[in-house]
Amino acid sequence: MILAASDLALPGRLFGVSLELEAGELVCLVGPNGSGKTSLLHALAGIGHPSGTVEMDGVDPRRLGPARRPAFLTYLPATREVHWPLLARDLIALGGGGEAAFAALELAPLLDRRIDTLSTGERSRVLIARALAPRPKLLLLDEPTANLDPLWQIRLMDLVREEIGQGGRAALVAIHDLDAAARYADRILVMDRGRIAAEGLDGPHVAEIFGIARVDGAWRPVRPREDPRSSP
Amino acid sequence: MTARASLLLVLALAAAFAAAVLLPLQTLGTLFDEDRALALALLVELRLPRALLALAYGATLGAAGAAVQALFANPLASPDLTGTTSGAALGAVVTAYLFGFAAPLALSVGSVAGALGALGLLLALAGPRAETATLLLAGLAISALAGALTTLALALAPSPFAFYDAYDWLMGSLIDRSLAQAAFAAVPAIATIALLLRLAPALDRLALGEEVAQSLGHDVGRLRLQIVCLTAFGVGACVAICGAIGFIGLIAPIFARRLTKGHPGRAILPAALIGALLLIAADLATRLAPLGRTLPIGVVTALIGAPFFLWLVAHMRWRLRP
Repeated sequence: MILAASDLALPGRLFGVSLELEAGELVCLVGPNGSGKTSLLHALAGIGHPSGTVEMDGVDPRRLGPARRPAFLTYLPATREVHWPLLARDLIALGGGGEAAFAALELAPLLDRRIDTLSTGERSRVLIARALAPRPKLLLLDEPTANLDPLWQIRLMDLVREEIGQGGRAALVAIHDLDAAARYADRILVMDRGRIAAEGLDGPHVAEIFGIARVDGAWRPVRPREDPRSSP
Repeated sequence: MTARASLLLVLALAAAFAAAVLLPLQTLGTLFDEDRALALALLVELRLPRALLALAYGATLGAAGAAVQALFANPLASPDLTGTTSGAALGAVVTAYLFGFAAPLALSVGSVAGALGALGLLLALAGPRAETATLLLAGLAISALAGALTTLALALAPSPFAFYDAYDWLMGSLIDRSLAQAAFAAVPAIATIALLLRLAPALDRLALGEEVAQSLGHDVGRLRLQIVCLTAFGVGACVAICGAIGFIGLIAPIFARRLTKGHPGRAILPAALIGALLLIAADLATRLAPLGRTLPIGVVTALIGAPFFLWLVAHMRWRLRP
């Protein structure tokens, strides 16, 4: 086991979530908008003063400073914002070191370009490389396939799988695409209203939580969904 | 920043400093032949404090500007545009003319308190990662408020000469300050710049966004507090001695980031050097300009800085949008 977290909470967003990750595991977080996927990633990454405990190799990585933390975990936010026009190479280096050359991401032609001159997809690849470069034990990725074309989506998830296959590492990936989750994940955690509500996508809970069901191989709405924030 | 760029910058700064102390050479040479003691007094009591103040104040404005721009993730943030210098000026005026404490230490304390108040108000009004429009509007409102309150404080002051007295100082002036007064600005300036430099790596990482910086192990809330306090301390101490000088804190960091490939935190040191260079050059311009009367240095920096600011606003299209 590489991660044990319990009672993670962020006021109003996340309510007492516990989870464990085994070495080599790729776990997908799914759930409707506002169900707490990003909040759970935040709580694990130490963003916004979360309560609860996180343990990796006997330490809480959220207590480590900038010198040691990227070796334990890195976080890719869903917004691909960069505030200053840095070179792609420098941006990757800011993430805590490591080798920038991920052959699979084909970054070589991008490295000496300024981030604001790249397309959205290219920028995503650079930011993903920033999160992967320190080779952390735990990858926390929020919508890593967003803005990527279908081929790059497959390549990226294959790369994540390959990365965590070596040396006791794991990935927790928040993703909206249920089919992608089913295809890539070892385990799927379904979140609802700030809690982990279920595991896997087989069962009546999918219709209850998402308001959709598989009909003739495609997802179809089954009822109007209530706003998760409007009820307790 | 490359070694060559740093060397050039330091050499340029040294040359400008030497020029500020020695120019015009002719006057000094003639005086040295006629009255050695007077020439030395001129050097040590007039020119050296003035050059030192320009060096310290310019460097503080450059470094503080770079730090504030990095913190707000916005190249238009600077101590003057966001109201910090006006707040400091208000603090000093209230201390001197309403409370009647004119000692340098009291002025510094009042000035730093005013700067802290202005920066705190800015954070409360505009929020930590303000859009340019919000930031500038909040800064404008704070500057206007501080300016009005400064005028009010002078109007209510017991001394009938308060306006006349304060005018030169409010426009920014490096003239007729003693070495002791220069030290009151220079020591906080050195401390501020040294402490800001320690925050450079965290400010560089803030370029990746606040969440990523936090996930990398930086306490962004504490970082914000440190920048606000240090900026208020350094700028406030300089304003107390020399009054409000604008635009150096805006321009220096923009040039500095060109030397650091856009890194906002690493730009603090070159921004300090460029800021010092700019202010010494502006001071030389006020002295050597053939106008018969010495211009307030704040007028010179504004005359050069304001058009640059306009150009900058017009060229904001390169800004990244999330």
